[in-house]
Amino acid sequence: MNRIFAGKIQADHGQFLIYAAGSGAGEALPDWTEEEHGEKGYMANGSAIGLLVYGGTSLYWLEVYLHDNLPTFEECDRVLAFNLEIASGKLIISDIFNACSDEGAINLLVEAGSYVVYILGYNLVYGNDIYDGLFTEMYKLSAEELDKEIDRELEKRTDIERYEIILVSGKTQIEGAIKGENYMGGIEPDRHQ
Amino acid sequence: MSVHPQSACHMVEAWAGAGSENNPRGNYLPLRPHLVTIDRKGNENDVRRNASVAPFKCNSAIDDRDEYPLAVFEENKKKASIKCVKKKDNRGSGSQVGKQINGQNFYGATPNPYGYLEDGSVVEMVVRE
Repeated sequence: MNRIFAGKIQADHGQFLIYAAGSGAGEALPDWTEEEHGEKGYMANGSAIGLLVYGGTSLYWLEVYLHDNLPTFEECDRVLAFNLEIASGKLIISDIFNACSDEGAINLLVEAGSYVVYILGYNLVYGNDIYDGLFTEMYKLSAEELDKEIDRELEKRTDIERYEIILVSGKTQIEGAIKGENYMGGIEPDRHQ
Repeated sequence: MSVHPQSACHMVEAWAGAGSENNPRGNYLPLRPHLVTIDRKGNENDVRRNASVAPFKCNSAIDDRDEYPLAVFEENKKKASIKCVKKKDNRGSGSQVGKQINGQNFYGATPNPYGYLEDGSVVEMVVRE
């Protein structure tokens, strides 16, 4: 398994997008106001995927991998799978405000082709985000120190909400949640206590 | 914004200088602006903002912290009003504003005729019936 990205993703308004550059991005994605998407916590249209997070913060640790085979899912709470055509060879993962057609917050080069995008969510408990950590003390740091400290904290804190995206070449017959409950049904907050 | 009534209501309250009672950034003053300046990069780099809203607690199973002006606008910096609103409302309104400033279509809203708006562009926030 080849890791191609590790760092924080900014999930403004509790969401981020995954799409192929030049595909029209979120243009065709509907809005979360539509009951079905808000309840599931995701939406996808073949060229873009929208995902809602559980936490109230905007910052989450994210790792992206290229994988030859179907990954294992034992340790994560939820797995979503979607077909994604990356004809441009550029995968974009972005908050909603920086999501342009050809560029976003995170831009990754991959071999052009059809992929199955597996999104693995860990520690999906409402409110289980970095606010439970050391933010009050961190706030005394300079902006640059704070940025580095938050990166370190997010990477280290394997007990809080975090995500992995695994790209596997090919297509899947089953899209949507293949492990985990529907988003708004939620996982009980005391599950991890 | 009326498809997202709580976010719209918060916006109107913020214009009037109101806010939630336990808002750590202060209530009732200053008045928050209708005209706001797009600052995507400033938002992306402003991890301090995430820390600054931490003391403001909402029921995380139900609500998000809604900010006005939105974090993507320069006028947000240390001066935003914060209010707990339903997750669905907050996330839907954020998605709508994102699409509008990026020149993408959004159902039920007037398309932005100028397409993608660069950082530094000033936009007027309005609430539609």
